[in-house]
Amino acid sequence: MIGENGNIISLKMLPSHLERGFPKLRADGGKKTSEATNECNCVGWSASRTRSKWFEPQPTQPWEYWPKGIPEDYSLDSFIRVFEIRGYKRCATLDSSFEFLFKKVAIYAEFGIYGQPGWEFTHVADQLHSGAWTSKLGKDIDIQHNTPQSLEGNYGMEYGKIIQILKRRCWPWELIARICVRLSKAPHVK
Amino acid sequence: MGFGGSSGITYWPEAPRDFCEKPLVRRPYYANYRTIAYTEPIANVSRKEELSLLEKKFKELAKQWQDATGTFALNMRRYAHPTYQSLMHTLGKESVKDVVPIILRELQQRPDVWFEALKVLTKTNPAQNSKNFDETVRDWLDWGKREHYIS
Repeated sequence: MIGENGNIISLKMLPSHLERGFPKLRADGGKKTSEATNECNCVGWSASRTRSKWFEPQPTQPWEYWPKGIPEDYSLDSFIRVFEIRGYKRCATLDSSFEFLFKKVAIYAEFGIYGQPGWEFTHVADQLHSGAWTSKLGKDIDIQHNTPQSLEGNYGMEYGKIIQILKRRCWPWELIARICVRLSKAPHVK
Repeated sequence: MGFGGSSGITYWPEAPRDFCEKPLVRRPYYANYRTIAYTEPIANVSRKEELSLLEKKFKELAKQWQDATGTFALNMRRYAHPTYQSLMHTLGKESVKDVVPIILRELQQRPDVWFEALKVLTKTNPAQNSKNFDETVRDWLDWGKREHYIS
């Protein structure tokens, strides 16, 4: 399979610990797309498509990063701001369907995970040009899945619920990539 | 030897006096005296064994922590996990020179974000200029070798 940047990606079976931790993932076409790395997390992956930045609001290591001007308070709003400064706008609904002209990200949150009432950020996934979704699972591997809902839930490693969908207009080169994906009729296209 | 005596303390006639830890006024069954006489010595665990047990416990908890939090998006959330807190609590009670080699060996075998714990324990940061995770691990391990914590 050809990735977003023209690189070859091989889709592999999910490791067993992730199949156990995310029970809906396998049925949703969950596939491993890269090896595990501590170098980047889901925020870095979805916001910058980088494998060398670990986004952390209060960096403790030189290679951890947090954009300037965004509060370092770990609040859900701060994580949404990371995407807003990249041109994403909040959607009024949780519609995660594929829109040809728009790129979407899904923000996941769980209630009271730090012992205080309130929704806290847990994960972010973003939509590929094929309409499938990509997620970097913490320091583990990154995966591709057909819908963002397969990571929702409160069982095992699941990330709570999708609390916000954000979208932005695709750049011209992204539209070209989307046309190419459609024309190639790759089996992963929904 | 017999019932009664000048001290006024009574012993069972067949039980040698040195088997008894303290004078007993009455011993109801003769057969029981052996079980009292052969008490298990208190286990004498050496410091080396203690450290080996500590390392075993550390590795178990570290594995549990990694399994439970490996998919967490943020390191802060990983540090807030009860298993990590329990680990830090356990290690905090031991001396730095005993604990640091255990963490460094874990870092060698299963690299993970142990850097904050190491920084707090050793009050140093040999990886302050590292550019990525792997470099940070390497810097800490090199430091550990230089300081003779690991070989």
